[in-house]
Amino acid sequence: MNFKNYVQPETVSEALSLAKQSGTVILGGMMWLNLQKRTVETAVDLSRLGLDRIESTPDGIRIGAYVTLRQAETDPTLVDYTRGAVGKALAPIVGVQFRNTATVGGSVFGRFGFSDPTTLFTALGASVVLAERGVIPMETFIREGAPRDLLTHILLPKEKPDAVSVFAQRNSATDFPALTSAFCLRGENLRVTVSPAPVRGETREFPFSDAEKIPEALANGLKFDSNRLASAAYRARLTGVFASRALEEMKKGV
Amino acid sequence: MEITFTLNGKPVSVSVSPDTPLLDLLRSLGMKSVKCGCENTVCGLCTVFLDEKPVLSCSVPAARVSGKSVTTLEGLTEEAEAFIGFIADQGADQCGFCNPGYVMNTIALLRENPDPTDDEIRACLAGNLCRCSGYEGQLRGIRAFLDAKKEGKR
Ligand SMILES: Cc1cc2nc3c(=O)[nH]c(=O)nc-3n(C[C@H](O)[C@H](O)[C@H](O)COP(=O)(O)OP(=O)(O)OC[C@H]3O[C@@H](n4cnc5c(N)ncnc54)[C@H](O)[C@@H]3O)c2cc1C
Ligand code: FES
Ligand code: FES
Repeated sequence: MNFKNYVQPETVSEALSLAKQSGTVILGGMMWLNLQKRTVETAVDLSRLGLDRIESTPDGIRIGAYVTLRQAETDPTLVDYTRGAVGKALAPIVGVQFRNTATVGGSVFGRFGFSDPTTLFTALGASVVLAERGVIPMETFIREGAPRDLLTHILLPKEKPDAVSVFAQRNSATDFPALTSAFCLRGENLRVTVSPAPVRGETREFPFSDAEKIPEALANGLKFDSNRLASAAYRARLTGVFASRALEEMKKGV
Repeated sequence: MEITFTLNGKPVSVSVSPDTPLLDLLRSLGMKSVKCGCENTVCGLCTVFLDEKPVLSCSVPAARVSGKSVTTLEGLTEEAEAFIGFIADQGADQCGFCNPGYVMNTIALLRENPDPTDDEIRACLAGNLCRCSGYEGQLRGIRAFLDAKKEGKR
């Protein structure tokens, strides 16, 4: 990607007013943007907005949009909250150098159907904080997007999950996942997000007592599509298998 | 635009275009250890340290390093010399093009975790592609270095 100007706003409102202008692009880690061959007028760098922190607040955990995937993967608060699942979900993404630059904000804002972090955060019950539209559930954001807005934070609810499982299928190490999934148990409530690229992720909730029926309900109830990585039928099958494995893990652990 | 940063411990002030990749800037400053393999964040050949963390310089705009510290292999020759012989002994560098990026990332790993397991080494080097060696030789070389260190031979 080429750009004619590079700006580093000092406040969120300054960054938002730039985001709203046509001809500007917000930069996260630029890993995705770099694949695009186009020229824009102005690139907006978020590195001076203090969005590079993970904080515990009275309402839960607040993750800045400029936090890198590597920071998230190794953060003790997040590792504890997710019972280790954050490391398992993010460590297979390309390599350490890549994850030292790719951001949580760019991963979520891209609304990619293969996104491991977005899948995990959605299953955990996250909300996104948008500078203009305010706080909205991540599932809604994934469905609807928020053009020309600025993502500042991701919020995770206060209640720590009782169990979290993540499973992804890569045809070879460091490739994009053909399907990625996350399962989060709080009390009797099991929340599942399945992201079967090229289709965007979907979330379902079940009573844990219905465990037997969940793998089939997911495999038959979600929308799958085919691309060069996997067929729709294979993705449906994987979903059932991953759900069974997650439930197995949870039964052993709970 | 003008930027000032620290390169291998020395202050540098240069003029860059807003979209110049750090990789291009570093090579223009004579840091020829920094290679361009894919330009797309996939191969790891362009690895440098930005504020001591390994990053892919093909995807970092030079404008972003203003006020920061950048280290290339040219600045780390002593640290690299401690183990590159072990890698050569295994025949693990053939054309050698992947070598600087992979050596940089190995240095980052050993600073963070001086006694990694084989799986930790594999996980850390997953983003460093090599078209010649098949990776096993690289792993054996690092293992041989770590074993020699434990036995007090290094
Ligand atoms: C080769 C490759 C392999 C990958 N493999 C995987 C994988 O296995 N699993 C996985 O989950 N992901 C994978 N990804 C995606 C990657 O992890 C990142 O999610 C992606 O690169 C976006 O993050 P970024 O910080 O680089 O965002 P950028 O590329 O900078 O931005 C992405 C989009 O988000 C916008 N944006 C960024 N930050 C904000 C913000 N705060 N507010 C508003 N808009 C914003 C940008 O304008 C752009 O439209 C891969 C990407 C590449 C290039
Ligand atoms: S040239 Fe940067 S990762 Fe390949
Ligand atoms: S030795 Fe040739 S690419 Fe690695």
